Amino acid sequence: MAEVKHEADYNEAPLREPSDVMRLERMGSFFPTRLSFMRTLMRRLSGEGSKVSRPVFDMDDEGYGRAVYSVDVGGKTYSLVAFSIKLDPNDRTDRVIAEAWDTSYALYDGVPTKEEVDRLEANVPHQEAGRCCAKDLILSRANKSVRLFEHVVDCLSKGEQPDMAQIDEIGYLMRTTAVYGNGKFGIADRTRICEREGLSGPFQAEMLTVWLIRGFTHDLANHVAAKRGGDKAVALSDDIKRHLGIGNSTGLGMAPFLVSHPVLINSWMLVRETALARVRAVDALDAATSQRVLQLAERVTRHLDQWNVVDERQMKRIEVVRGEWADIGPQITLDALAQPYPYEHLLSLAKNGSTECQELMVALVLEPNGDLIDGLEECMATPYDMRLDPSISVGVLCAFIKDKMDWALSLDFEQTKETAQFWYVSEEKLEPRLGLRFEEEGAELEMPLDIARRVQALYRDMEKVDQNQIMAEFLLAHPHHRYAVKRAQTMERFPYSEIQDNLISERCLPIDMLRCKLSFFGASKFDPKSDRWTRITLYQGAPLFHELSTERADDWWLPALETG
Amino acid sequence: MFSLNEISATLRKAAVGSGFDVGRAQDIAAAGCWLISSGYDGAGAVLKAIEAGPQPISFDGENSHFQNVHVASCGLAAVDIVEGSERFVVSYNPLDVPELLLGFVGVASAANDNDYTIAFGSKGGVLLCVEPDTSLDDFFGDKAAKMTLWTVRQGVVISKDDQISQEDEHRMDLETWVKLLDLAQKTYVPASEASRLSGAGAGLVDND
Repeated sequence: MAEVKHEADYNEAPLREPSDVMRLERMGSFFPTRLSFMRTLMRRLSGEGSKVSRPVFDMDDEGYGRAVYSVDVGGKTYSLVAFSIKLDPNDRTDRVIAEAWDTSYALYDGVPTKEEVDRLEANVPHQEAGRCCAKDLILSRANKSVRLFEHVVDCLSKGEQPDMAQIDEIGYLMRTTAVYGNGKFGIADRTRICEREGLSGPFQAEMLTVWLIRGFTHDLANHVAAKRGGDKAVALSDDIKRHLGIGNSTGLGMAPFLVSHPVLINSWMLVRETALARVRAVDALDAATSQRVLQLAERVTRHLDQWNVVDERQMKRIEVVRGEWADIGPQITLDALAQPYPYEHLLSLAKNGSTECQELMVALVLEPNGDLIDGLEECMATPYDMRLDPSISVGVLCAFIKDKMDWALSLDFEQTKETAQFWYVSEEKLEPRLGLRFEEEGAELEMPLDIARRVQALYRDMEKVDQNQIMAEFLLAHPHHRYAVKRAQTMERFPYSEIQDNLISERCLPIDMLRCKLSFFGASKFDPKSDRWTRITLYQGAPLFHELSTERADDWWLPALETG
Repeated sequence: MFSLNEISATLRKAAVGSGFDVGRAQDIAAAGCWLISSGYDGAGAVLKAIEAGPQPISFDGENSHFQNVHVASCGLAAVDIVEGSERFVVSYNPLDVPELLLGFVGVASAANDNDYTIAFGSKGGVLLCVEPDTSLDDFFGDKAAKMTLWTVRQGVVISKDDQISQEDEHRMDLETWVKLLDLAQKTYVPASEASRLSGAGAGLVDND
């Protein structure tokens, strides 16, 4: 019987300070780790011996029709219901404002009857304009990478495997443009699944959906090629399929999530930092683990070499990290790993490098330490939310803000650069957008992402009143500060809950928030297209449907093609 | 049928659209959802309560007396005072939407495990307290038999037979829903070609 370890059994170094971690620059440098949501889902499916079946695959010769994939998780069956249609190229946009997509999906609670698939077909392809019900857990859609999908189908139909350079350059056959959960457009509230085994963690249902979509895209390419090529056609090789993940276009809609879910974000960060603290406390490595670290360091080199983007800012950052890793890599030797506290030593090698290099090393040292940190993901969901404590005195809250929220107090909001941007929701399909306050209309309707400004205003008003007043009394005269009081009190209880930067300043780059959240999903090869949206690849290198029982199921951190 | 999450988001936006600050709008939405989960018309209660917009709060601290009748403005404050100072609060005037006070109390009780009692006098007065007082009728000059008493413990109304609903979907009165959406609409910035092109930072076609 396996030994169960309790919290007290683990040594831990001190946690990194929230004032260091919760900065946009660092959050925008995160890499996926073995605690990322896709990795934890794959470990669970692998551990459970899950099998994927395909009870329906009703596609015409061009690949238009419907399909159903079913899989058991935690003792329950879930099904991806997929629809594929012919799309006019003029309608193919990854933005929220789109109204049609190449493919659309629902994750269904159970195995749908034909009548249920018919119901879904009448609604799911319309996405926001359709209507779902509580049996539908997730709603999603994806557009083809037209270039790669056609290339792959063309090659396969002629009996050839596609060009690996193109596979590596793009990395996916389709990219999702939204994966909706938690009650959107009539689908199930998260409360329906939040206590279910296997889906209780954050975004596990969403990640399951995307993994099944990935498998569907492989099958769809094979199907169209077989119909086109007949006897000459071949199927995609497993090596290529494995390197084909699912693309994703992520825009501003993801950024406010980090602000509107402070307690949840605290949980994610705290788990990540606790994992790092445990690893830093390891005083010696065995020979096998040392070899594993060397392998992973070599994989980092290949991954960085294969990570190329058009965006100038990100490409410069990649080149900096490549240069830094060229110095650091050779220092990761068996002798270096034989030192006391070897992971502390590795982290020190990156300490003076770029933030991106530091966070790459953090992700690296977590990877070989599943025995120390796997299971922490159970703490990434939280039943708690922001809540006001009306019994706290003004003096106590003032002292806390002065001590721990100085990042908000030190800003001069009289300067236009500190309020240069505003976040808003457009009436056009409720697309989240970012505007320039002094040039565009609509700032009076801005979303409440100006946490620093609100906390500072609260503090200034609290300074003027009796410090013994309790919050309940203070808010009688200042009800508009209710949100800021909640934020400050939440940060007091949950120290990693706030991004400690001004999110409306001209310096704020939303791409940093997107990358942070996407790294927790497990995304890699961030490919920013501007400072406010990015493409990424999900599940690249991840196990295929039939590979869950193999070692590959948990060895796909920083996917990289083998070279040489 | 609607999910609770989309109802919650719409209630919050509607409250903001009515002029409430986001902090109170969140709590108004939570109270509405608690009522819905408990089998009441929470959306209707929120709509009635927010339509007039936020009102100044008038509180006589010495006598723990709210002079307001607008529950969207004074209800939260009343629950804050009761929780924060562990004393009762009272209003001698009928509240505009008394059921929303029950929603605020339900949310607070679920979070802080306090037992709350709300006593509605037959002449319209309301008393809210943590510990029920044996002489509640003194506040209203009523006999206890003429009062309506609600007790909420750990977020559940225990003085009636109502239990938290386990339903995954909720019906909405269409007229109420449309009015809430109209208020929520006030929080959206009108579309313009400039914001369409630059606001999200992405192109309009993706055929690569």
